[in-house]
Amino acid sequence: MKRWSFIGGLTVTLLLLLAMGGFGVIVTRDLTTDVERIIAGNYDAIRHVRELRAGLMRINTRYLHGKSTGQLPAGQGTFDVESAGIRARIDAMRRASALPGEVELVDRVETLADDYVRHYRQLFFVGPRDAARFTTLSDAIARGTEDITQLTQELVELNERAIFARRDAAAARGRRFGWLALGIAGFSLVVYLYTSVRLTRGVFAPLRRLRDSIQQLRERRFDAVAPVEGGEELAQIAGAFNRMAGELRAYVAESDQRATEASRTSRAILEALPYPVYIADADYAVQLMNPRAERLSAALQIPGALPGAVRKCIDDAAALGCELVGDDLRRAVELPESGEAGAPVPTYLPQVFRMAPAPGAPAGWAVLLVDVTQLRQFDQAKTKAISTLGHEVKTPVTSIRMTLHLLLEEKIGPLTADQRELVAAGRDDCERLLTVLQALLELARFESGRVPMKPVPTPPAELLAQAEAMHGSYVRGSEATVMTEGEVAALPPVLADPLHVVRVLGNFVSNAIKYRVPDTPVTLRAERRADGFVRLSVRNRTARPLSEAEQMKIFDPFYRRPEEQREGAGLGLTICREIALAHGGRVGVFCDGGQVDFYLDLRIAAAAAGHAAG
Amino acid sequence: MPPVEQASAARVARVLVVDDEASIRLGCVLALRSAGWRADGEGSARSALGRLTEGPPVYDAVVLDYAMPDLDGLALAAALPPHGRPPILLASAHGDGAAALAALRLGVWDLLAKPLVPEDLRRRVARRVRRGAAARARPTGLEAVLRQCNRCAWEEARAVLDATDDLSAECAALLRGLLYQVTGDVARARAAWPEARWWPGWERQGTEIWAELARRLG
Repeated sequence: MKRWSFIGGLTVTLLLLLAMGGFGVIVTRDLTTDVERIIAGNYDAIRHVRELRAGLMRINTRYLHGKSTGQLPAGQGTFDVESAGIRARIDAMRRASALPGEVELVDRVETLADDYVRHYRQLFFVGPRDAARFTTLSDAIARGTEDITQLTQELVELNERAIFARRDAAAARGRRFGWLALGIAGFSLVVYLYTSVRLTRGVFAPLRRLRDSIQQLRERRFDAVAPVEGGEELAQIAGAFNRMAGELRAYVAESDQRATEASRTSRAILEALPYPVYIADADYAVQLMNPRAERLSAALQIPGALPGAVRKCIDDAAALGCELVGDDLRRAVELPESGEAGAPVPTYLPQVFRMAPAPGAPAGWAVLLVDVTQLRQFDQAKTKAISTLGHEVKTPVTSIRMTLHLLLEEKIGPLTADQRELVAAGRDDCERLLTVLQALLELARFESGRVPMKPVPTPPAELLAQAEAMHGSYVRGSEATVMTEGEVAALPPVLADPLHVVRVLGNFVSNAIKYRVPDTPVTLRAERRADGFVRLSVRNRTARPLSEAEQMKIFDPFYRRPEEQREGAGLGLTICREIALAHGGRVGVFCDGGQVDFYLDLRIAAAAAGHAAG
Repeated sequence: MPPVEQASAARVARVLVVDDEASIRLGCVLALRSAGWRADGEGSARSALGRLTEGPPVYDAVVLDYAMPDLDGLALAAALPPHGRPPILLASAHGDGAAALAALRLGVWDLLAKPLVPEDLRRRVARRVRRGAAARARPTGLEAVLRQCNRCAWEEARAVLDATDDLSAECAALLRGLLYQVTGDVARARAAWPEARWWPGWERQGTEIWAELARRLG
């Protein structure tokens, strides 16, 4: 309905303005016609009177000039011309006469003019010879002139009155038209104001309220309702908006319900977890923690906060640019709660995950502290047992070895053939035992984290060059060709402790030399991987390819391939794996037909640093 | 090499073995005696210190264990003045980079890697106790440099190293690097390692650095 009142208001205003314009045109045309009439009738009459008078004046001036002296100019040419002009003017005046009484006046002027002409003719006839007659006629001419002037003046006044009357009538009409136009303008203004108010109330105000409702929705105030008002169309929009808001409200309520349930479930899981769980933002501020974590922080005298050692783990994860998960006990942290004396120090293995504390918030961290107190005790006991036993056994074994070597030299005394064979067998066992002991002790040192490891950014080319340069010391007297393949100089620096990494590569190289097809080269290679690692690998050709099962087990302690000679301790590759793990890297083997690749993956230093900075 | 024949013209060389492990000490003494030298055993660094400092110097070489309970081999070596002491051969199964560097700085460049075998022991001792004709003979380049190093005479050692021409480039680079390292010129030492094909990490390397040095200088 609003639409009709709006259109109606506009139409009325338009019609009024059109009517006013049309009326104005008519009034202007009438006025023009009046002016034309005045000019055609009245003004022409006045002009003829003026010319008539001028004609009389010219005749009188010429011929009555010598009246007093009793003289008359010779010739009547001027008179004949002027008197004919006077006659023509009177005819024209008669033709132009339109006013009441004007024709009578013209008739009278004609009569006087006839007398005037006749008197002049008599005057010309008499001439100055008859002075008395000349004077009488001159006086009659003067009187006639005066009468004509009097009468024509009346004619002029009559026409002037007519002009003034027409002017006054036009002015009155103009005034009326002005009032009418003012009235129409006022009425149009009223209609315009009325339409504007209706439009503002009926369209703009509801639209504004609808906009406010949408704004409320945008501010997630889902109880917003748009008033159903205004015209039909606006009411339809408001209705549609309210239906949409209602659906949105229902959806949000449902989502809230689901989120609440999910939150309740996760809280229940968190609470049920026997391990402390912290969820922190990027600035280490704890956003969520389970009761076990609350107890831990309280026991550490830092209620509600992350323990320092855990922060350090997050820093490590950030520096490495990855999540820290796994069962490597060397990453375990001790968090001594004030408990009973003599009890083992609670030890946790932090599992660090990336996680946003709230939807849309910047990524923070979730830390699950797996309690490994007992596990680490066992592990430490095992490592210590191996270490102690190793050292305790090693000293007597070395002295037995010395003794057996001395006896076999027979410088102290001769041996029988059987004795020599027995002692030689004992010496060989001793050698093997020592090799195994040394490797075991070393592995125990790596496992207990007592081997200092300092990864620094190192170009892969440098690591390969060192490994290539040192291959002579891995397999003494070897004639093998060891060479580096590919463009390794362009690779980015990796995080590596060169001493240990070169040792890993050396181990791979010595194995490659040992197991290669004779007279084939051993190649060192390096390539960038897609996951932020650089792969350093040692390749050789082999006559005995590794099966998949063998590839899985080859890094396990004491693993030997079937029918392999018992040489070394069987721990070399295990130590390599330990070194790789300590670098946050990985080792592996890849066998494709007759070609074997042992590889070590190390993290790209720039990627790790970039992530930490970010 | 048969050192007993070389030493027969002069006084028999006398060697002191210092090790807290009785069986190893006995083994070493027997190994040396069977080569014709006079060898004595001592079970602790303190008693060895007494034997070496009291009375006139009688020993031509000391085989010293690095790890001993009362006083370790390095401390004993440090207690003896480098010019008056007999040549010291320091043996260790656990010596790491820091221990090796400390020994080198004390002028102890004869490093032995345990476990020892009699033949190696005799060869290394023989190099330090040559006498008579053998001693007068022109020493090898390595021996000439090590002789100066054992006196902590670093400048002289460097001069001898520059003058000698019977060393492989690898061995010469190693000696040059070690000399720079013990005199604190770490940057130059580092520059020498690629030619020596060796990259020692003194603070971080495990026991293998000792074994590697013993092998390369032995």
